Amino acid sequence: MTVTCDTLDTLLLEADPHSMAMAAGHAETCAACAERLASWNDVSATARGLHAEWSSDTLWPRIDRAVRQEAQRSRTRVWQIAAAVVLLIGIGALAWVAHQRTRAAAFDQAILRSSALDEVEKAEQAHLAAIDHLEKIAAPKLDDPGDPLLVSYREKLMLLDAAIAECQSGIDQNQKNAQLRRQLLALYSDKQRTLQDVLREEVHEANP
Amino acid sequence: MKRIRNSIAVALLLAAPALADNAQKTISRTVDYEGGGVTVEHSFGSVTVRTGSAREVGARLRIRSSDSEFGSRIQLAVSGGPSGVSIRTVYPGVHGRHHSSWSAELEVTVPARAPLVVRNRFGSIDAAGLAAPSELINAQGSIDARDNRAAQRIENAFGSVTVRGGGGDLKVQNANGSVQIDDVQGSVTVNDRFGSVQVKDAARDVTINNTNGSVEVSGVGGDATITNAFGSTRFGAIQGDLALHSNNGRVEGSRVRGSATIDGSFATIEVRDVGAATISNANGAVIARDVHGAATVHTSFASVFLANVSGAVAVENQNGAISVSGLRAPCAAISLRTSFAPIKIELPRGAGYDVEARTSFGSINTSVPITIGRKSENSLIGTIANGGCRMELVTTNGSINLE
Repeated sequence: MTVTCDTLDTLLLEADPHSMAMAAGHAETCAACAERLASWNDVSATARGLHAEWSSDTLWPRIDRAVRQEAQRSRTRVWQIAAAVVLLIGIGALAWVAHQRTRAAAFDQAILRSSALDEVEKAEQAHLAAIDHLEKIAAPKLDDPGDPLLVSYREKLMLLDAAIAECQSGIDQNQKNAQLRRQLLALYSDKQRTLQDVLREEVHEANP
Repeated sequence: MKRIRNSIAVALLLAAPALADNAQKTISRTVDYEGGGVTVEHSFGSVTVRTGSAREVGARLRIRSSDSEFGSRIQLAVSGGPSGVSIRTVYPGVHGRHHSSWSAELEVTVPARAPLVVRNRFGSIDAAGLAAPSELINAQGSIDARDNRAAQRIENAFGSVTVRGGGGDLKVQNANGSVQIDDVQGSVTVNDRFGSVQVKDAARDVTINNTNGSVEVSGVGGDATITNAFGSTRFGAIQGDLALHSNNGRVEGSRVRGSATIDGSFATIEVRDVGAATISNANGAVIARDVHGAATVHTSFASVFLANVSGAVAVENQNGAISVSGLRAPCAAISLRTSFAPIKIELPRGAGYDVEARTSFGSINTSVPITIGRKSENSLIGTIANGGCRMELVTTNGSINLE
């Protein structure tokens, strides 16, 4: 192959020993090319000086670990999905239970259960006993009310008795109806309070 | 998975008692509204009324029963036509003592412009947003009416009545339940017997009749007429006149732009900042401050204290002292009479009076210069300043003090 100034760059880029020998041969006969070859060799020498090598003992373990972690992460994701499904089912079940309990509580608000009915009946009995006791003490005053206030109390007691009777007749038909039971308790409380007021009025008159 | 199965089983076990013995069902009915009124009759549960479409009436009955067979026989009868819509809860015939128990909640949706009548027993009534006249009648349950813009008649026997934001005239009848009314644009009439009555912010006249419960009225745009027997009565911010009769309860109030006419018997009457005051009591004290017109007071066995009266003063007492101070008018007739108690009066500076003071068993003392016309041990006739206004001070067994 005939080396010319034009083909010198091609030889230098190939950089194998044969090409470099051919380039050096041509440079001996061409001053310009000799100068270009010298510059090329300087750059090559500098580049060789800049070359650095390093080795990392932890690279592979790191890569290996990353690969394992990736695999583990995939497995974890599967478990996470499974856990989410279980959690969802759990929440759904709890919501259903809560709904049923709310429904049951609403039912209990409307219709008393046997245990609650027992409690209510005990409270009613306690009121009745107290009322009976108070009525006996207040009877003389109410049988012959001396002033308009006592007449008013007697009217109120009659009104309360009528309401209690009406409520009681409702309870005979609808024994566990919570509204009726609450109402009866409220009427008993009111009657008890009224009788206490009557007695207080008596004390007030005795000790002006 | 076994753990999850166990958890679900536990949850079901927890739910089981809650589900046992609950017979519940809901019945819904809808009919076209062709005009007329809507009538609702219910018992043993609450009634809730709300407004909805102008063309239909809806009803939903939620039944709870301890016996599913009995519960299934409870019916909701709804019928409609040009004359109106009728909604009725029908229970199976129950005779004597019965072992099933039940409750039914009724929710009704009516056109806002449909007149409404609701009757209930043993359950509450809650009605809101009505724009046509309504009647809410209950026994043994509360009534709650909110933002109803037309006339309302509410009747209850043994339950509370609460009205908030009414647009039309309101009439409430109760027997033994409290009545609470707030922000009504029309007139208010309340008849109760043994419950407390509270009326706040009524734009027009207010009339209250009660027997043995407290009455509290404030913010009345028109006149207030209150009758109470044995409960306390309080009032405030009345733009018109006040006419109040209380038999045996304390009366206390302020800010009546018109005149205040108060009639009591056995308890203290105390008023402040009223246009004019006419107060009659028997065995209770009378205290009136800042009276912008005349003050006329009659009582028998208790003291009378008047302060800052702008008009004429006339007090007639028997066994109680009379004290008058802070008179604002330079010349207004004064007549103070009692029998077995002293009289004390503080006169404004520069006032001119023709004084006639008499006592049978007491002294007459004055720190005000009086030109004496005639004087004896128990009487004095004279002139304060240039005279002009009549002042009569009479007691039988007490001293008279002019300051």
